[in-house]
Amino acid sequence: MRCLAPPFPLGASFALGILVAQAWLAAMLDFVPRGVRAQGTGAAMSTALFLLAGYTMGCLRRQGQGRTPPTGIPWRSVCAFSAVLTVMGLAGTWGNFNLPLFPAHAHGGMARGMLAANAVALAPMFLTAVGAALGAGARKRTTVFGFIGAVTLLVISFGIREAARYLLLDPNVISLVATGGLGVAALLVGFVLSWAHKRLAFVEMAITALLVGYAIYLTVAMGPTSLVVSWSLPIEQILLALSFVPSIALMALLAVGGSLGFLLFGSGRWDPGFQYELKVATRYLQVNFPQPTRRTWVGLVHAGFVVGAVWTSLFLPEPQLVWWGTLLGVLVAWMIVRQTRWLRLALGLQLAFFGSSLWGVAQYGARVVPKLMSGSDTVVPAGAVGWTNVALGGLVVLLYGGLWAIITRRLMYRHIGLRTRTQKPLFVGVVTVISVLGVAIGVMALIVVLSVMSGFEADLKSKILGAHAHIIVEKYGDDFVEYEAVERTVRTVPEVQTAAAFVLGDAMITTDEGLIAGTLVKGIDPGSEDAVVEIRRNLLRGDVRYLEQPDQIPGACSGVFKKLPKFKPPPTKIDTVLSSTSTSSSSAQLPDTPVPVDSSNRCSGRVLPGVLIGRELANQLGARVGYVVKLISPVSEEIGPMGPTPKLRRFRVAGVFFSGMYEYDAKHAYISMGQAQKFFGKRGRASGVELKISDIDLSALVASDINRRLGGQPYHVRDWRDMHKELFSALLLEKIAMFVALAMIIMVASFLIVATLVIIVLQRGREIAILKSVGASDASIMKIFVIQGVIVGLSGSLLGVGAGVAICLLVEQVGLQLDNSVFYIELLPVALNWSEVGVIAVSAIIITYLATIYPAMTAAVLKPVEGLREE
Amino acid sequence: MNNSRALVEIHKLRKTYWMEDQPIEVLQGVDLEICSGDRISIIGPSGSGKSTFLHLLGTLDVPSSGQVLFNGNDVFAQSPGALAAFRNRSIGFVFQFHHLLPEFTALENVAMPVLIQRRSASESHERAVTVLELMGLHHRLHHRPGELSGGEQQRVAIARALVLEPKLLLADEPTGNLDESTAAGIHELLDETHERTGLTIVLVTHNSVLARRMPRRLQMLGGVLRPVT
Repeated sequence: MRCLAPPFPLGASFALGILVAQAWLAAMLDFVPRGVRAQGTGAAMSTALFLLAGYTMGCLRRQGQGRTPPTGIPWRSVCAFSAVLTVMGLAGTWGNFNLPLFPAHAHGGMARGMLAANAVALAPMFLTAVGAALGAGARKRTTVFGFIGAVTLLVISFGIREAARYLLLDPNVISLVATGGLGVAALLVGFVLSWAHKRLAFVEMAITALLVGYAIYLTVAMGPTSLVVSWSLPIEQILLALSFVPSIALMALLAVGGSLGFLLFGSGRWDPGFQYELKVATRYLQVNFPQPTRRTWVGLVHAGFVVGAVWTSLFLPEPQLVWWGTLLGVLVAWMIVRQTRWLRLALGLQLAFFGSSLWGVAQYGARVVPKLMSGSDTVVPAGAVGWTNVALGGLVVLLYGGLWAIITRRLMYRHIGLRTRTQKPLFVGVVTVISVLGVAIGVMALIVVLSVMSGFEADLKSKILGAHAHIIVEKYGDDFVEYEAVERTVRTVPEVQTAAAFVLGDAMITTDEGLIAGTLVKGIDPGSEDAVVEIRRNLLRGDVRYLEQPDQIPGACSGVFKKLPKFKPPPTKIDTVLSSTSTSSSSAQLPDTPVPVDSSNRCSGRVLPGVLIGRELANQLGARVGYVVKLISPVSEEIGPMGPTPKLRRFRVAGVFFSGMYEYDAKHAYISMGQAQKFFGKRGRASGVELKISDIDLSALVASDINRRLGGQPYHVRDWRDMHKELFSALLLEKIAMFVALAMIIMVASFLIVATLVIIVLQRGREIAILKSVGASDASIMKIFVIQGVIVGLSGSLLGVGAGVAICLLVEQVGLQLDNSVFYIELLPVALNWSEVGVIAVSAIIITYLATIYPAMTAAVLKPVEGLREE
Repeated sequence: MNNSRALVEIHKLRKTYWMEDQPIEVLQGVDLEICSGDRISIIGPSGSGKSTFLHLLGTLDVPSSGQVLFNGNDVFAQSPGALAAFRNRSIGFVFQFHHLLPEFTALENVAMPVLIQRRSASESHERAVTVLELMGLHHRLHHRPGELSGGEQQRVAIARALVLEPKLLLADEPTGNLDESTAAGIHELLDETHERTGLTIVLVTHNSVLARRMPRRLQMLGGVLRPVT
């Protein structure tokens, strides 16, 4: 049907129709929760209406006698449409601002959201244009199949979710299975759509993706809050992400499934072969793999040995010698092959290295082998390690420098007659190399950055779990008197390792010099091993026993100590590794500095109770063991003329601990439980019972078990994830943001692949036509270009994974120093997570695969006669 | 025309191109019957639609209307995949400018249709060598098109068209780009092939000598085919 109406009235008519539809929808959806949800839903509804309007315009624009190109967008109608909407949107927004037209409830919220969407001129224009492009490219029954696809997808994913709910228990696993099920369903639906149509049913897939995406958005926007409360993100961000992420993700999966369906069935029959397509693809990528000769194998074996030696060196404390040896070996090999003037010098160096390596091997053998044979557990001395490096380096030089050069030179002489053969060497086109490197750099950056972030997360987690309890049992109200019985109960749970009651309260800590700090004071039972095992491990100075025996604190019966300089940081990890002792408080201790005692001011015998404080707090107050501090609690039973009077009590510093977490070392202090109960007015009561378990990953299940054993209310059981939810959620959000940002590198690389392939398709239009003229099907032509993209993606991913993993291992072994005062950590932590590496590699391959679809389809739909006409 | 069943039947074949919403009718209803073993030459002025007709016959283009029946089956009623398979096994096409794949050797070019049919590499190789030897190109197997002379390139193109023993050979100005003696060699090659295999040949040419070699001569005038008087 040819469009006869002039563009402006058509566009304006559509715009008015959209306004009417918006008003109707706003009234119909009055039940949508107010506020952000209503506004976001209004904006989302508007985007759907823009796409629908554009789609209809595109369908009307289509010529009767044949399809217009998919980009045949009726721009004049689209511009008229968006201009009218923008004017109405601006007028409505101004009117609502100056004379509030819409009330604050959901109806008004949705209308405001719709007006805002209208007023943003570019968004309606873009969305309408996209809809028009889809409409112009639509065939008969396209819309119907799009709806069928969406319904099928929703039914399958719903079925999988219900099955998961029925069969599984863990809500996280159910969510994972439901999301995975939706993804698999998208692949299948895309596959079936293309198989049924014997073409890449792009428009149908787009309609399916958009409909399902909107369904997900509306379910969350209008549904109960329980759908989003577990995400720990603001509702605005969730809705914004849901307005486009599901549709894009589904479109990608549908495109993957659809393209596979077309590639396998596009010829009209099952056709999984790709033999000649691979041959053509590699030829077009200018990748030439010559037949391997003996020289090639020799070179490969030695190259493999060098790579292996370098990798092995990564696990040695000082691998530099191996690397220098490798460089020297390469130099020597080149000199031998070229027979340069410096050959004798090179050979001399090589012999010297080799000789020293023999000496190193002897040294290593003499020191280490007896120990190994006797089964001794002693760490290998540093000197022997060094000689091992020399030995390995020497071996590399010998083999790579000497033997390789000699063997290959002999081979070269032997085959000198064959040098005139027209066998081309290994050659890879420049554009191919650039494309591969683009993908490799993206993958490498992702692996390294995510591994570093995982390292920080793991470091933080170990410090938190080292310093804090895994599970805490608390009681609502302030009458937790039965804490000892609860302690006994929780100890019966098999996974529980330690359990100890505690009292917790806020207090100010101050010194006679007027230095003051806020602190969280914890009362523990110093006689209970469970309560003190972690504190003892982190103690730098003093002793936990001082809490029970305060009279043993140095200076307990003497006067106030003078203020002394800050503590120096504890020894570094490398020093600790090199020393033969493990990291205990004794190894971290600093030598005592004798302090003069004011013997003229001996106390009357009153012994102050002890308090353990963190290193940062000690530095802040200028305090050390034996120093007297004052704790001030706002909680007091005494009433003064101005109200409750704060309670003040003197304590003597019994020890200083260092957990490695700044917040903990700056804010926490320990006193005995009895003192805490007295100080905070909780006689006979506790604040809670803290537990450590054997497997922290089971904390949620163990917490649930304990809750059940205690009978639920009034007890409240939290695990470490609940206690530090915001912190870990923030870390997760940061990781996701970093993943998305760095994935952009891969996206940019994939655009490079798109550009490269489009250029190849444009340049090779004639050859595509020739292949079609001899019987190549559209699917077959598409395979050629998809294979090109997959080769680039696979090569880039493999290279990127190799480089990324190597860098992570290198940083892990060599160590990258950080500013301890800034980062509170000595070395850059790296935690290589192989599942993350796998996800990154697979994502890169999928993204590069998707990048090939458009250029491959362009090649596939090229008519043979059009390509031949270019001659 | 031989007294055998029609291999190809063409009914009211039309092709219209659109230039800025203006129609250009190149073919205005072509009717033709081609029997198995026929050798047909089509002549006509430039722009008369000869090549367009040949492209439609070879299914390289889609007609605006009309039918092409091959062994009684409407070729354009098939799906695109089936059409490609039909083109691969039943039709051989020789172009004026040989249209060989420049990055592939003569052997690889000729083997390509066999590989497209998903035959094994060894079978493709064997068939290609056989056909190239028949063309007298056994010493040029591993040469790329750029390393061959014009006549050799056209021989390779003919070899590629014949490697799967198609029923119909369509040649669009096969010697238009060659000198007289080379062209003569190609003409003889086509004759020999026909004598050996009984191949049906439809040939478009400006070359009157070549046209006269064909028993059946047609002329394209006004978008319609007529016998040459």
